Amino acid sequence: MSFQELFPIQPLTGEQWQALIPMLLMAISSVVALVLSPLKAGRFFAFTCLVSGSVLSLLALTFMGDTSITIMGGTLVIDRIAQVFSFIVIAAGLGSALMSLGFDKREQFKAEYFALIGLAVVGMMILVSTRDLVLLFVGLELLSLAVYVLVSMRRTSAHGAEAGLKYFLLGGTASAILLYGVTLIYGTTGSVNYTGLAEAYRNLWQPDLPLLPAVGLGLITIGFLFKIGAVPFHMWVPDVYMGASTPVTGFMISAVKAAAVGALLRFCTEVFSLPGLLSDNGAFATVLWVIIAATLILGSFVGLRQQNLKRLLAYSTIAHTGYLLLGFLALTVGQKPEAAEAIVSYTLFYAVMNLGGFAVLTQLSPSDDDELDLKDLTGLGQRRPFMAFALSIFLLSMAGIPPTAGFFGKYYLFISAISAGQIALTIIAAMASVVSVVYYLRPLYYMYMQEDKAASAAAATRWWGTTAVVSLAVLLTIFMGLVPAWFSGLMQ
Amino acid sequence: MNHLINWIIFFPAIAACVILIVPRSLAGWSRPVALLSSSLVAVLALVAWSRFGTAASAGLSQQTPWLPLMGASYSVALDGLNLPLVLLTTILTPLIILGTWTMIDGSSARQKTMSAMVLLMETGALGTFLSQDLLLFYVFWEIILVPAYLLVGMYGGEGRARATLQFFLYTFAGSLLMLLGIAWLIYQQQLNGGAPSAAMADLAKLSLPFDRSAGGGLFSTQGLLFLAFGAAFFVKSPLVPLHGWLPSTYTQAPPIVTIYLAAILSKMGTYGIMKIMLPLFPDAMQAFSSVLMWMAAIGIVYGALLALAQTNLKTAIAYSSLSHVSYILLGLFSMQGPGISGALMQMANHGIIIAGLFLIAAWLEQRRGSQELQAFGGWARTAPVLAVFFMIFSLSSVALPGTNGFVGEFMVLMASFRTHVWPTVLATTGMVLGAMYMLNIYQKTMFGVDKKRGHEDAKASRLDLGFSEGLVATVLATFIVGLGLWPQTLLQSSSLAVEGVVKRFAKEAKLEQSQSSSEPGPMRAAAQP
Repeated sequence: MSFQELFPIQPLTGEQWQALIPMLLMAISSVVALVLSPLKAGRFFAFTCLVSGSVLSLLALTFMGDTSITIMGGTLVIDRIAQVFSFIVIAAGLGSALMSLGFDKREQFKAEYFALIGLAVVGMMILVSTRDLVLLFVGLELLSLAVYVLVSMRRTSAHGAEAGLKYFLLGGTASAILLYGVTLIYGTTGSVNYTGLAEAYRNLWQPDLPLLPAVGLGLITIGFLFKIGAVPFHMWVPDVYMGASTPVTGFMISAVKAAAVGALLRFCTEVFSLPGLLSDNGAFATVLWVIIAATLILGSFVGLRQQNLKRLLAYSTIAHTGYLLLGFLALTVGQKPEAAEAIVSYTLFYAVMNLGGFAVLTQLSPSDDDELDLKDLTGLGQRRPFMAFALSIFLLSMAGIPPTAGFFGKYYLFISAISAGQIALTIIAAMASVVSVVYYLRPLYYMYMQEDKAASAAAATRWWGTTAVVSLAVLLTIFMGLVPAWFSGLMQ
Repeated sequence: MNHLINWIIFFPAIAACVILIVPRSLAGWSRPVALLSSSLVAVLALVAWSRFGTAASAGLSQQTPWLPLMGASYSVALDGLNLPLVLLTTILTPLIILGTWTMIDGSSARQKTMSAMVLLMETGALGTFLSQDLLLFYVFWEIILVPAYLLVGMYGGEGRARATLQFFLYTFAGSLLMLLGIAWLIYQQQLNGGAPSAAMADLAKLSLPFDRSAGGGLFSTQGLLFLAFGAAFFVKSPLVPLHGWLPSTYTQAPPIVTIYLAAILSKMGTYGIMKIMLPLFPDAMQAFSSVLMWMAAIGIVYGALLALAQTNLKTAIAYSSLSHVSYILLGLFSMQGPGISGALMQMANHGIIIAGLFLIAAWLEQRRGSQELQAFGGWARTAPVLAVFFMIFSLSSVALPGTNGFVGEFMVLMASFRTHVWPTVLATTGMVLGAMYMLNIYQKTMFGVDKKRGHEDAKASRLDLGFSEGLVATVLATFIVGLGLWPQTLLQSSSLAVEGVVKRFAKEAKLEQSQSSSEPGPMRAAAQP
C-alpha cells in the first residue's frame, strides 16, 4: 500500500503552497530555534531565528494580497480573517521576543524561550485559519502547551510557578471541556468541518435544537470563553497575568487573546450565525447577555481595588473582554455581519495598546523585583518623561478617550451593539467605562501629580528593543486614533 | 489661505507639540512661544471674521471624508453661531496666558507643561465650536478633558487630586451618554436614508418620534436622546443640580485653568445645547421648556445665594459664574429668537467678564497669598488701578447698562418673560442678589481697612498692576464697554444663523408665532442701550 492510498490527500497546488508560506516559515524557524538552543550561543541563535522567521512571514503576509484559499479539503483556509489575525499574532510575538531579550538580567530566559514563542505563534496561526474542529483543538493545544511553559519559566519567583500550575490545570480542564464538546458534536452530526457542521445544524433545527448538539456548542463556547477570560471563567486571569514575567504577560494579553478571538470569530460567522440558530430570546442569548454584563461589571469594579499594576491591567482585560463580547452578541444573536468588522478593529487596537503598555512595564520593572506597584510610578513624569507619556497614552486608549485607537475600537463595538438592538447592555458598557476610567487614571495620578520624595533610584532596565516597541505602539495608537478608517477597512 | 480654518484649529496643537518635544533646557521659551502662537491664532481668527460673509470666505469651511464607514467626515465651518465663541476663545487665550504670566513660578518644567496643555485645550475648544460633524464634535469635546485633568491635578491647590477626579468623572459620564446618543442617531440615519452620515445638518432632518404619553415624553425616542445629550451639556455648562464638580474644581485649579474652564469650556456646554439639542430635539426641548427654565432660574438664585455666603474670594466668583451661566441657559430654554441671540451674546460676555473677575482674584491672591475675603481690605488706596478695573468687571457682572453684561441678560430676560413669567421673576431676583454679592465682595476687598497694612506700606507700589497685567485688564475692559455700546458688531454676524435655528425649530414645533418675533428681535434689543 502506498502512502497515497493510505492517506488520500490531494497534493497541494502552487497557489496553496504559497498561501501556507507564512505558517511554514514560522514553524520552520521555531523548530530550527529549538534545535539550535542547546548550543553555547543558543540564546542568540534562537532569537535570530525567531526574529528572521517572523519578519519574513510578516512580509509574506503583506504581499499575499486579498485571497481566500482552501487547503486540504477545507481544514485550513487562508482568507482575510486568517491573514489579519496571523499578522497581529506574529507581530505581537516579535514584539514580546524583542522585549524579553533585554528583560531582567537576573532572569536570563533560556534559549528555548524564543522557540516556544515561535511555536505558540504557529499554534495561533492554525487556530485562526482552521475550519475544522480537530485542527482547532490541535492549534489550541500547541499554543496552550507553549504558553504554559512560558508562564512557568519565570523561575526566580514563586508567583511564576503558581501561575504556571494554575494556568496549566485550569487550561487543561478548559481544553478537555472543549474536546468533549467536539466529540458530542461529532457524535450527533457526524462532521467536524464547519461547512458540514452548519449544514447538519440546519437540518437538525426543527422547532428547537436537540439537547446533545446544543450542549456540544455550549461546551465549545465555554472553551473559548475561558481563553478570552470572560466571567465566570476569568479566575485564572489576574493570577496568571501577575505571575508570568512581564513580556510573557504582554504576549498573552495581545497575541493569545487575539488568536482566541479570531477562532471564535470564524466559528461564529460560519456556524453560529445561521439564521434561526440563535433566536433573540433563546437561552443562549440570555446566557450570553448575563455573561457580558457580569464581565463588564466585574472587570470595572474589581479593578478599582488593585495596587499591583499587572493585576490592574489584568482586570482591565476582563472588562475589555466584555466589550468584545458585545460585538459577538451583535454578530450572533443580532445577526449583524458588520459587527465582525468592529471585532477585528478592536482586537487590533487592543493588541497594540496592551503590548505597548506591557512594554512600558517591562522597561520599568526594577531588576531586583518584578512586582510593580502603583506607588512605584511616583514621579515617573519627571524621572522618565517618555515612558510616563507612553503609559498615559496606552491607559487613555484603554479608557477609550479620543483621539486614541481605543476610542474608535469601543465606538465601533457600541454602534454594532446598538444596531443589534442591545441598548440596555450598551448603557451598562458605557457606565462600566466610567467606573474603569477611575483606575486607568490612577497611574497618571502617581506619575504626574505626586512628588517623588524617596527618589527611588531603582536601577530599572533600559533596553532599546523595548523602547522601540513602546515608540511604535505609541505612534500606532495615536495614528489609529486619528485615521481609524485606514485600519478598520481591513476586512474588505 | 485656503486652509485658514484648519490653521486656526490646529496651530495651537502644533505649537503645543513643539513645546512638549523641545528639551528641558529650552523650556524657558515655552511661555513666550505659547503667547506668540496663541496671538497669531487670534489674528487668524480676526482675518476669518473680516472675510466672514464676503466672497473671500472660501477658507472658512472644510470638508473631507474621515470615517466613511460611520458616515463621519472632517467637516468644520465658521458660521454665525460659532463666530462669537471662536473670537472669544482665540482672543482670550493669549490674554489669559499674559495675565497669569507672573503666577507660574520659575520651574521650567511647570511652564512647559502648562503652556502646552493650555494650547491643547485651545485646539479642543476651537474644534468643538467649529465642527459641523457630530462625531468630530465629540472627539474635540473629549480632547479637552485630559489636559484639564492633568493641569488641575498637577498644579492645583490642596484638594486637587479629589477635585480633578471629580471633574473628570462628571464630564466623562455625561460624554459617554452623549456618545451612545450619537451612535444611535447615526444608526437611525442609516436606517432612514441608507447612507450613514454624522453631519449635524443631515441628522437635523431626521424626524425623531416624540410621544407625550410615555412618561411625559421622557421615554420616547426624542426624550431619551434629549437626556443623553443633556447629560453631557448640562454637566459641562453646568445646570443646577448637575454642578457638583464646579465649586471644588474652580477653587482648586490653578488660576489659568480656572479662567479657561469658566470662560471658555463652560461655553462648550451651552453651545452644544444651541447647536445640537435645539435643532435635533425640538419637540423634547419644547415640552421640557418650562421645567428647564425653572431649573435655570433656580440656578441663578442658588448660585447668587451661595456666592453671597462665601468667605473665599475664588469660590464666591465660582458661584457667581454658576449663576451667570444660568442666564445663558435661561435664554436658550426660552426657545425665542431674542432669547437665543441674547444667550449667544451672553456666552461671549460672560467669558470676558468672568475672565476679568478670576484674573483679579488671582492677582489679589498672588499679592496677599490668601483667598479669604477677610484677608483683604482697603486695596483701593494701595492699588487704585486694580480697583478701577475690578469695578468695571463687577459692574458689568451685575449688568449695569452701558456694559456688555446688560445687553445679553436684558435680551434673555425679555425673551423669557414673554413665554414664562414666573421663572423670569425668580431670575430677576437673582439679578438683585448678583448686585449684592458683587458689591459685597468689592467692598470687603477694596474698601475698609487693610489688616496687614503695617507690613505692606513699604511695598505699596508693588501691590498695583504691572504693565502686562494692566494691558490685559485694559483689553478686557475695552471689550466690556465696546460690546456694551455697540453690541450689534457681534449680533449682526450671528443673527442670520440664530434665525436659522429658530426657524427650523418653529416649523417643527408648529409655532409660527415665535418665528415672527425672532426677526426683529436681535436688532430691536440691540437698539435698547
